[in-house]
Amino acid sequence: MTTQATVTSQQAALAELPPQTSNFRRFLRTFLKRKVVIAGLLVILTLILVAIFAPLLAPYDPYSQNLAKSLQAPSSEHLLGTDLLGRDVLSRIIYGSRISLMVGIVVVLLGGTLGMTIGLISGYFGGIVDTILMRMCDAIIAIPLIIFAMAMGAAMGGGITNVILALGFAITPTYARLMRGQVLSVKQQDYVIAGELTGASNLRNILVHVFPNSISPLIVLITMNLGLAILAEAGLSFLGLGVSPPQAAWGAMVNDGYRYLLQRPLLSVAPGLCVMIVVLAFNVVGDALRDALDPRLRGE
Amino acid sequence: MRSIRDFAVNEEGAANMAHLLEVKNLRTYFSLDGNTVKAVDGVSYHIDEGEIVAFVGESGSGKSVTQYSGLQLIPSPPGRIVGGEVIFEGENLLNHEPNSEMMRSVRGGKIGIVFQEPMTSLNPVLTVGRQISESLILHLNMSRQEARERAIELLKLVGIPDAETRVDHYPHQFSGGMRQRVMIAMAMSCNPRLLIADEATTALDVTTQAQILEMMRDIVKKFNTSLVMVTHNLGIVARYADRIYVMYAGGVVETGTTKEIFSNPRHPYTIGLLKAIPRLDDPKDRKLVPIDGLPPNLANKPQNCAFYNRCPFRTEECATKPAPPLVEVSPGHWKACYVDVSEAVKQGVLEVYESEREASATAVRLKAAEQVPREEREAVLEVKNLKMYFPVTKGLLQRKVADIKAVDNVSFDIRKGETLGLVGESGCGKTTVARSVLRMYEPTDGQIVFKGIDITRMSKRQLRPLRKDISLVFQDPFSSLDPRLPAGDIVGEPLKVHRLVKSREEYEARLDELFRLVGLDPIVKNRMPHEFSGGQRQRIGIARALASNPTLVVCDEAISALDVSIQAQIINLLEELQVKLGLTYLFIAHDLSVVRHISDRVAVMYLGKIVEVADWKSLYDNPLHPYTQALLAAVPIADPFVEEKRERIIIKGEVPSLLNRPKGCAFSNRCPLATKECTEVDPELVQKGKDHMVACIKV
Amino acid sequence: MTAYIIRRLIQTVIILLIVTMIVFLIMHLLPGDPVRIMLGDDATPEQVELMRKELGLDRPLPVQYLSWLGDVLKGDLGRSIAYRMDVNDLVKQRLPITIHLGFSAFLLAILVGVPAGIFAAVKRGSWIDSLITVSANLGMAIPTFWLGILGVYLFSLKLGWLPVQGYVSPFEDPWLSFRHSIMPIVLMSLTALASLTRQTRSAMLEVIRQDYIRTARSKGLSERRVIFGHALRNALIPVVTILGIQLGNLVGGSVFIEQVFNIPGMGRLMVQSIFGQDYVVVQSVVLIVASTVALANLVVDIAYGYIDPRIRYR
Repeated sequence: MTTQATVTSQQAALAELPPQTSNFRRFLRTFLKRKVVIAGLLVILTLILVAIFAPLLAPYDPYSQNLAKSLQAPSSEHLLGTDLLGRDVLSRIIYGSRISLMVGIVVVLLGGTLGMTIGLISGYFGGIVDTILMRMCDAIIAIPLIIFAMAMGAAMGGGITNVILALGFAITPTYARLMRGQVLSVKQQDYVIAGELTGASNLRNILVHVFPNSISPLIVLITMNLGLAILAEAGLSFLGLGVSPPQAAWGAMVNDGYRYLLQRPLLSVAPGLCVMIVVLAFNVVGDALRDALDPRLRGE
Repeated sequence: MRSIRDFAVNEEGAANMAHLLEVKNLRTYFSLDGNTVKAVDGVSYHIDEGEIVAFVGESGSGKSVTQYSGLQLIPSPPGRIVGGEVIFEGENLLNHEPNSEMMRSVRGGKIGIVFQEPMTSLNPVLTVGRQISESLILHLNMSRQEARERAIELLKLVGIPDAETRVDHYPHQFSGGMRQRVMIAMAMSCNPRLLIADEATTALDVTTQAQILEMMRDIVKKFNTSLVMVTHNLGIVARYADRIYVMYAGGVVETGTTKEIFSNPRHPYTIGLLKAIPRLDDPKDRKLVPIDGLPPNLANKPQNCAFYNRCPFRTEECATKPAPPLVEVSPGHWKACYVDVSEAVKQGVLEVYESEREASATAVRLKAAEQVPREEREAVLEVKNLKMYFPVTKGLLQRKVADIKAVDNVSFDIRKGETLGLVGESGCGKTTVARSVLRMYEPTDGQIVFKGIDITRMSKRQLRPLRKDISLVFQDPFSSLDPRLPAGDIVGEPLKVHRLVKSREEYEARLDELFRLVGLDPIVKNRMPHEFSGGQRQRIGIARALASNPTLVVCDEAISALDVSIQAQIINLLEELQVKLGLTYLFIAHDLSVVRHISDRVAVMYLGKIVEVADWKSLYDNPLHPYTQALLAAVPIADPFVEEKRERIIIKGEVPSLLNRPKGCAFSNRCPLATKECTEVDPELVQKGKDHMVACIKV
Repeated sequence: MTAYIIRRLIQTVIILLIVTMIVFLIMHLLPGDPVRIMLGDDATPEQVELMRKELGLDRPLPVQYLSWLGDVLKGDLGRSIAYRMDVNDLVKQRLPITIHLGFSAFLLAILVGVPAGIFAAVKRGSWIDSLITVSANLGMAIPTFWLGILGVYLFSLKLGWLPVQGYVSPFEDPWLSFRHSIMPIVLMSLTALASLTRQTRSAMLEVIRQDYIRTARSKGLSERRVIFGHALRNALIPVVTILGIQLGNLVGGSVFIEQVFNIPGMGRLMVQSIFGQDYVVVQSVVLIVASTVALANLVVDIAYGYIDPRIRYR
């Protein structure tokens, strides 16, 4: 059946396929457009490494007290000085990274998973379920993050675990709303309708078509929220509502150092600076991710 | 009327010509993704006072960028004007900064421009009157009050009813056609010497398009404004343009008067274009001759002729020599080609070229159809009194106040091997019919019977096994393929869902077969959708539709989003597949010429009803319903000689919204034959010929 | 338009209702026993039981909720355990202070942040844009409490320009009030300011890409006219919609500032009450804050309905 003619048109069609362009390479190019991103990635990497290898990197035990050496200025022995109880500030900062990183990751994992699931269900199925879920999200969003986490954390008894749970719960609605918005717009796309028309089950459609195409902005949100969670935890620890002493957390250290601000400003400044640098790194990387994942900038 | 000039036309810019606009060797490049895209590469042209000049080309030809370059409207980070001169009223505009006083006084003041997208080209937060007044205040130094009055006048000029009230309305309160009229009013507000219409009617319905084009022509003739029409529609060109520039891959490949170009095209691309488009006056079995291949990548333009890889007339010379310059064929007629494509050569080559192909698939089908009359063939799809109403809710409690009768009592059937074309303008309900047939909605009333099974009220689960027998080819090749899946997975999904293959090998083999069927090398199975061109993506979509061996394939505007030369490829493909696989098609489109070419029978819809249904020949040769007649008259034919003699039926008004359905016959408020009776009775389809039904009491 | 407003109103009421439920539920997750805390460790079980009955804590949860809700709607927020005052009186003291500082900070954030964002967008790619963008990024990363401490260190301790702590009402002594509140207000505004800058910038950039901007340029309008006459109004629409959320964040930040500067506002009250396990107060504070934010959102949405003609004239 296939005559010369069809072969000619075939040959013509396939001969014209554009060279294989790498989607990944285009992504990388947009991602690394501004060089700060590299600095941001390095900071994040450093944070991870420091947190993992804290015992090896810290010169002293962060908990060991030495009242004789209380409130010392930075010296060759104690690079950042000591606090009221004679503990080495540098070591406490290094160990503090563990709390920050852990909180950030767990909070986002918790809130993200819960939020995305809710968003998926809400968006795909719609109807009364959607309305109820979204009103609940609106209500949680109406309560400022810190206030919500404070109230919930305190109600559960305080301590870092409860703070993590509270923060995780508090950011769930942002994920739910974003995911839902994405699902709603993806759902309208022809390729999802095509999936339905082939007779694919709802589950298949969601897993194969809807979800993979919805997650781009969520990846950006996750990155930004890592910074936000760290910031929130630091704030709560500062207020005394996060970790309990003698645990070393950056926020708590800032609070501890407040009283000695005039004599030893470094006690408060150093840990706060760490928070800022880490959060900034996440934000910068998040921004770059957003630009790189933007389909318009990819030339689609 | 056309030729007020009695000067000789000389492309080299002879001194005895005072062109209104003269562009010499314009080059505009874009930096994208590290590459330099040569969007406009050495284009020269001129526009004289009072003439209508068309720039014809497909996407990527550079026709729009050329116009914007002259006005320095190119977005400057990626784009830059690299060279050339743009001499307007004696002054080289490129000598001035884009935002200089000179440029700004030209833009809007001396040269007006109407863009393609009426929905997004007007500022949503400013009233229409404000937006028109702006230009008047700026260029003509009018006061607010004067400008407002003039704006009202302009709105009247472009045919906006109730101009005094409407001047204070916001863009979203106007329909697409109305918005385009507003854009024209804006562009003409300061009495420009030149009006540029950049695909200004492409996004509009056929009848609206006809109205707007007529109006534009009348206005520019009245004010002696020159008009530049940028379009890909050769019919429009044939009907309105005095002269043509044919553009391809950033350069002008042929130019001349309209009649000359259409009767004696000399560049292979022009020839190809004219052969590729279906026309209302074609013989039925005329095979469309597509232009094979794809336009070149402008970031990597070849040094030789840009059309080389697609040209059936190419020679050894063409491969090695640099891009051909424009040479004069006859006074005023220039082409950029080394080959002398005279009539004899043309006939000879094209015959060989065409005979290489299969006999027209349509001819084959028509012959087969003659053997068995349609009444005796199996009815694949029967739609009986289909109604699809969508509720309109208002107010706090979302109470239903009305119904949008998207589909109102529609009946038709399609026999095996047949193609039913469904045409109509926006809001006619053809897409809703398609979706109802596919059971994407549950019909409000009526029956849908598919292969003898009543599927009207079936549940999703019950429908599942039937889904492999009926497929849909989508309109938009860009949104119909999942961007995250490789082409093979997309095509293979029906196979997996319906478990049509038993092993991995069988799966891959079937995929290969499907890819080959649609003209793609199976090697590309692993590529991602964004790596393919629009036409290739449409092929993938078709392969997906065929994967489950369907009986009925619904094509919902399957070619509307493609370039003209690619449309022909896909139309031919669809026809070949129909013969090869014994498919039945429901073909939905708004392009009447395409529908005529591919369909056996055609149904015309208007505001949710079928107003006329007949076999293709009866419908097009002898349209009975006034709407069908107006619709056909509104479609320009790509032949200036035919166009000259055609009768124009320009119906007034726009397609009313479904919420404001006229009483009685839906067409009564626009119909030239309408009487009082027509507003009382809603006509039924009545048999008027062997296979010809019309819903009109005046026929 | 009225339908739109009414619908938003009803939505707000529903949200507030759900907020009360959430607040109530959270507070009753308390592992500790508030009664025991009040009476001390050496109270007998009978005394505890008696107290419990008195406070109505032995009733089923839904009943307690409805009873509390009824009280709230009547304006009775209960009685503080720690302060031995009606919560209403506490709030009357503290709320004006937080409103004064919070509102001023909000205003400052808008008046500086939005123009900065516009400026950055218009001068995209230039050094000014980079400067503004970097500053905004920094502003969003800085912990508010740390900033407060730095501010105290610099302006109070080292330079001695401003007092370290405390609050003075502007009605008492305007100049002194100004000296006490200028630093808290500025610091409180910074995060919201940074965020608004970023949002405005990206909204402007988005708008400048639109077709109608190209149309405006094609009419020969000056760039300034294009930006201010055409782009700005469209860009402000999405920015207005997020103002409600920004207010919420600002209130959150006020907790830290009030702590650092020892300002007797609502934030400080909340922190103290948490430590004092004074759950009645905590409950009320959260409720008041959430209500304020929800109402602010409502106002913003209504304003949005007026600005966007697509909503105003359907």
